[in-house]
Amino acid sequence: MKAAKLLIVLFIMLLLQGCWGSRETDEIAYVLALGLDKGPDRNIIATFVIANPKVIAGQAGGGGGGTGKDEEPIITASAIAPLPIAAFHLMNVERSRQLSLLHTNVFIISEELAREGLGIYLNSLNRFRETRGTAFVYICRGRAIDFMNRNRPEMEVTPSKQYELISRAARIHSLTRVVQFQKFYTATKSRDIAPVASLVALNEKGLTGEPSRPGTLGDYLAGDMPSTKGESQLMGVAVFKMDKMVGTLTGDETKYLNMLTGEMQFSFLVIPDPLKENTVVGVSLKQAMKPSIKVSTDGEHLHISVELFIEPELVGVSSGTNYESNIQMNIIESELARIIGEGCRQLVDRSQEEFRSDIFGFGRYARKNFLTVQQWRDYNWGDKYSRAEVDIKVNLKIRRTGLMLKTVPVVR
Amino acid sequence: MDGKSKFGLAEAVVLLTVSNMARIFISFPRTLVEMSGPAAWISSLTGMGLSILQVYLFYMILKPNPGQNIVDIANKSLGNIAGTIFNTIFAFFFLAVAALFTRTFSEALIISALPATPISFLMSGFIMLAVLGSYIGLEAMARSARLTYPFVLSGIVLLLLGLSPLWDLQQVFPILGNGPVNVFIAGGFISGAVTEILLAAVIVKSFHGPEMFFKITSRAMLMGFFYLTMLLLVMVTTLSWNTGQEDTLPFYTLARLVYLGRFFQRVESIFIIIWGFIGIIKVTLTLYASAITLAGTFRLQDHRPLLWPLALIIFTGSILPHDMPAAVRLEALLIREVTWLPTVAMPVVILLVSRLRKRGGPNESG
Repeated sequence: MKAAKLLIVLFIMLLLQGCWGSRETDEIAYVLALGLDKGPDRNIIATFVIANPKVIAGQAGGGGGGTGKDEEPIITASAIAPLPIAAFHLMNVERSRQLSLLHTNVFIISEELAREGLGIYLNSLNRFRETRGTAFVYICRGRAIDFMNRNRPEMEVTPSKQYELISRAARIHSLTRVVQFQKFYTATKSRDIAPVASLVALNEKGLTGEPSRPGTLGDYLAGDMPSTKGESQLMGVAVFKMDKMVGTLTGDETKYLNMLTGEMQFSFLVIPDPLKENTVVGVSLKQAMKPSIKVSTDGEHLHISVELFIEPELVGVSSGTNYESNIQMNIIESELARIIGEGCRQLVDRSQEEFRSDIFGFGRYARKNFLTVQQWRDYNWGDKYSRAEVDIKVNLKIRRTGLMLKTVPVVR
Repeated sequence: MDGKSKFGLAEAVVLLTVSNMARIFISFPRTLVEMSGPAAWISSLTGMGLSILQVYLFYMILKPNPGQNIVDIANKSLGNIAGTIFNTIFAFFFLAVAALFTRTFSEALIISALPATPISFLMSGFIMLAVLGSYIGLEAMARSARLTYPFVLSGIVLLLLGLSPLWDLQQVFPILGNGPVNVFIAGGFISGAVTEILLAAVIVKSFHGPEMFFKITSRAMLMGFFYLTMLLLVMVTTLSWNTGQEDTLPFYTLARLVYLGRFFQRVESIFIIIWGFIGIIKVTLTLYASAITLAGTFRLQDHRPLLWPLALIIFTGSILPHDMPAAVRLEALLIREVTWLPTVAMPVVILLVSRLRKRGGPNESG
């Protein structure tokens, strides 16, 4: 009897070895990034950045065997199909290893495709078992295939880590909005918020682009900021109305977008010195708390009031003015509040007049005013938002002045 | 036979709670969100109130008959023919629940982790374990549920808290969702239709009397509905009610969204193990209850000879729906239109008849 029980246990263990779906790691090749471009005849060109197992395994194992020493750590390959997942399946025809999307952490979509509408592609990506809601969505200025072919991360082995770390770094400048697939997908089907996604591009102009001016330090779209040629830049966002891209915001505008939605962790601003011409004051910005947003839907007119709470810190005063003193600090605080208020105002105006799209998600706050979903739908937020009256109040207080408590004038 | 194995309050509460929680891992939360919109969690609270009323209804039936379960009471109150019909309906209800859960849990495993595995293999696995569990008996099930519960609980807490960066509390508005009728009546009745109270009334002999039945079942309902309400709140605030109703397996979708930095993500594999365990408990318990019910109905001394034929019925029943959406629709239909019959309407009849017989009893004898 004991032997029979043992045999049954062994038999069950044999059956439970991953059942029919087991795949050894050396049978799989992982796709790290998936790019989508408009293709011929209603097709798309799907580009896959695949981790090169020869090189990655060599690096992980300390280069044992010396295989893949001179090879690239990634392989870029493209296929044409009506849907991204269909292209993914086609790619398997050319590969010795079965491709897997389990480790794909970025979807890069060309601007051209985004402007035509992404609904059908998002549906496919949302439905497939291997794709993840935590993957980042980037909109590429130009063609995704070109970007993915030419982007070679200098500091990372794989672009997936590059994208992931760049996204985390966005917290310190807030000149873009990093969006995960699930959030983006939800927003494309939402009445109360319009989706946005990071803009990405390679810098083709090198240092020859237009330099920044005081007050407009990050006023660029991805790829336009003067820097070393060939670097990939994540700056600004693409604005959508439902699933169609309708415009772009520069880095500075994105900073104000992040302020208004309470998603700015840190940023910076360089403004003309209010007390001395041709000099500038640099401040780092921090959101003290989430903005207070109130939406009144009573009566005919929609009224939205937003109160921002910003805490800047002085980081550079080129004029040498003693802004640490109470009176002068008030001057700089008023000037900063005015500039931030104006920046936010202009952005709200653009969203109402140009995009006609509630990218701030004010609609979410408006839903409180309705008892049922039907009442909310009947209100027709999308239409009402473009005619809404929006008040923005900036509460700004410089809490810290860095490692200097007083600026002594330069003796000339 | 049942009643031989007795276990404590904690084991019994956990056993029923785990069985009740099984529905949160499959498409049920989606059905509720589709019905009630952002107010699905309110429907769950309404369902909790209704389930406590059901517990009280069964307590009223069991209280005057200590030492007897609902099967014995139905036989005694309704007579042989009506009692047998009632009990057979109870048994088939358990079988239907077991068949649908076997199918939906197997489908869930295919969708999430084992796409190449034939469904018949997975269903056979569930059913074989259910037969084994039912054969060993209730005590073993209760104790293994108790033993595993801390891991299940910590897994769920981990998931809910791991999603906290994604919560958007504005998503719970409009507060009355798809309207009071959908939220309180339709949604309330869907979420309040539970198998575990009837099931507890079948296995009540292991509970040390009707007073314990009330304590155990009401606590299990409070805990089960607490988890359901929390999950619905997290689902609505994370996925939004609009796209949340698209998800086949909302719990799995949520698990896949946990992303706390580069080193804490992809935790769904933990939840697949929890699912498997909870699915097995649910199927085992319902198979066991149907065997006990039939054994009681036909006055058999041992329920075990019934296990294999009943397992075969469950397997056949579970393979009947053509596809996953059909199984989910059938499950929704069972919950919406059938569950209230064996869990409320028939117990009410048993209660009324037993009360009437009691009143008539002294007159007949006198």
